Amino acid sequence: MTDFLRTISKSLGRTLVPTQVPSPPTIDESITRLVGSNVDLETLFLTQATAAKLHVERSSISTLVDSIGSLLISRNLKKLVVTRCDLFEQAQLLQGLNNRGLDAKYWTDLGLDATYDVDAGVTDVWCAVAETGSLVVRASASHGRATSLVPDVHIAIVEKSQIIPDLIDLMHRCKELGTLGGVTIITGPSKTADIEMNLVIGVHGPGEVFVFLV
Amino acid sequence: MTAQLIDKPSRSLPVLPAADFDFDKVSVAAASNSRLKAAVNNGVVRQDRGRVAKLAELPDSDALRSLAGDIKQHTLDYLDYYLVQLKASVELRGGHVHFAKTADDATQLILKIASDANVKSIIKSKSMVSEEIELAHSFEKAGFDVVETDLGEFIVQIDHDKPSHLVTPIIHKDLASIAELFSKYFGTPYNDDPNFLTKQARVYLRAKFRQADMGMTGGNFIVAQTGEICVVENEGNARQSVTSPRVLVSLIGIEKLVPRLDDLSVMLKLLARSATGQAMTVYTSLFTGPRPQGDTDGPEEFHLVLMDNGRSEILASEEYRETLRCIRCGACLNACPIYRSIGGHAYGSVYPGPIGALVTPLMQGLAHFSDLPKASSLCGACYDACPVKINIPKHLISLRRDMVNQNITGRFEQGVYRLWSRMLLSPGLYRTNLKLQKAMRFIAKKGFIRWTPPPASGWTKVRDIPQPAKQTFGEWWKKNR
Repeated sequence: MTDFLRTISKSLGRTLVPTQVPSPPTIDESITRLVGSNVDLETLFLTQATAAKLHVERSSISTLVDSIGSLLISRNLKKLVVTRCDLFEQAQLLQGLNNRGLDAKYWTDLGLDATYDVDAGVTDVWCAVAETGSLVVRASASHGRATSLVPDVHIAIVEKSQIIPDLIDLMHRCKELGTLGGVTIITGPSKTADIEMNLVIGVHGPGEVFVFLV
Repeated sequence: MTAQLIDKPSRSLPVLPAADFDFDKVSVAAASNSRLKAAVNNGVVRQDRGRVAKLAELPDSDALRSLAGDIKQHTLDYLDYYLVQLKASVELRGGHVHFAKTADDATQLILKIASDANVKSIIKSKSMVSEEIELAHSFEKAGFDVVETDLGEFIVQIDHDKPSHLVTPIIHKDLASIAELFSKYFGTPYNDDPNFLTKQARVYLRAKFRQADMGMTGGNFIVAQTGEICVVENEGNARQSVTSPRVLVSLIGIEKLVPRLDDLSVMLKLLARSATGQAMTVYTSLFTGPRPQGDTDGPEEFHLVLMDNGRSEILASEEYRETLRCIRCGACLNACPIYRSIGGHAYGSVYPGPIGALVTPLMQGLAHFSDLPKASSLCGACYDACPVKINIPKHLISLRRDMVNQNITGRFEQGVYRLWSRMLLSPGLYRTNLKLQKAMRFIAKKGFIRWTPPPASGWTKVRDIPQPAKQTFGEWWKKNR
């Protein structure tokens, strides 16, 4: 036992670190939970995400390439980084976007430094939270941390089945996973109100976040 | 915006002298600075209203605040156990855990981590604990290229200023002064559009993010059971710290632990609501350890530095232990009539406002900060606002008691209060005192007594007393009952 810990134990009136402690307070869901599974999660997520200034649109896997493609072209966003996942393979997203004259590359082919020069990141999500309208992304080899952070625009695709009711459920899911890697809950575009409380959108993260719900 | 902005090297910062602290002088000056008062009030009143509105969304916010307080209290009561558990869980994920007894230990540890890893440039996200030990200055002195990346903290850094609020560090600055600062620093024409200023900082800092060797964060919570650090923010700069640099160091106070991931659902529902009136901040990041094998971004090396720096002394007092529950949301600052009048700098500490008036003397010695326990009207707004139910007014009174017991309060003042209490216990003396007070009507000007002869002059130098009424309540009652 280090000196450091000995000081802490002493402050707490003991000489040894206890090997067992009483259970922490029980989390009473009647006061903590805001959203149960009895509500229409899709509608609630839409409402909350919109309130958090995410641009949410309903789409489908078959029309995904069209929806994303026309959004990107209308905004003149050409260079893209894309996460690698089954959903995108199924929708043939990368080929579809490149066929429309865009320059889309998988994260695994592009890497961190080059991501600083792309216009938009297109990602799937690990899950989404209806309570807060949040996207939850999880880092892995195919899902770089930078994909939803570094480009000016983030486009996220959420499957309806991925929406969970409450932050409580999110923490349960994190616990089940064991090793989290990096998990980020995204609730809106990057913003600041540091300068005299003036709201400015788009500081160090994406200034615009588009969500396609499929 | 021009390209050379990006290449402009960050200036070296002078080390600020320790606060030369005279609360009376500073607070009187601050209270009469109307530009400061307007800037502070504009911000905090809005945040305070937002807090009240957002807490109302919860099924029973009072019960949830009790639960949050209980969770943190439990963690503090068994902090040695949870620290051992945390160390094991972070090491299991390949992270390094360091314990720093003092501010100096923490600084030396982190400087060594940086030089061992051959670090040149550092991006630092906002953290109160690094303000506490003035870490950015130590990096500068040791020759590292360090930049604060939170917009507010960046402005503090380039202006050689100090933060004045736990959450919104430059709440004391108005738009014009920031625009002037940017114009000077970047050599660009004056422009006071907040969008322009933010964009300018964004471009400058983005180049730093891309090249940085080391990222630094604090932590809002650390989960003992699984080792996750939880950082909340709105800008995305803390995410940059955990994304691009190859080395990541998180410096966190030992009071930030919670036992389980589940506890975060309780804490997260309260933190942003209490701080800024948001249901959630834009980004909530959970991370620990170096990046898993196969990942191509995220840190290759992760260090968690847990700092004591006076906290174990607070822990040792069963009475004051609950002050360590604080989650640094700033709700007590926003609610406080004193903070609203004088701003954060007048407290002479990185921790301002009601919670600062409490933890600063506890951490740095009551004798050095004997004015702070008195910087309160004891109205209780801070206690009502606190998401973890720290009874701040009660503890401020206890500190005043301690000052008497430790003879920090002068013998003369103690004598005066002894006489005062005798007067209050005797009906005859009490009535005489009321007559005296009424007589003082005649030295009042414009409704306030602003001057009294010695020895009371010390008191009125920093306070105005409302003019006593023509009639006492007792007299009124006799006539009107």
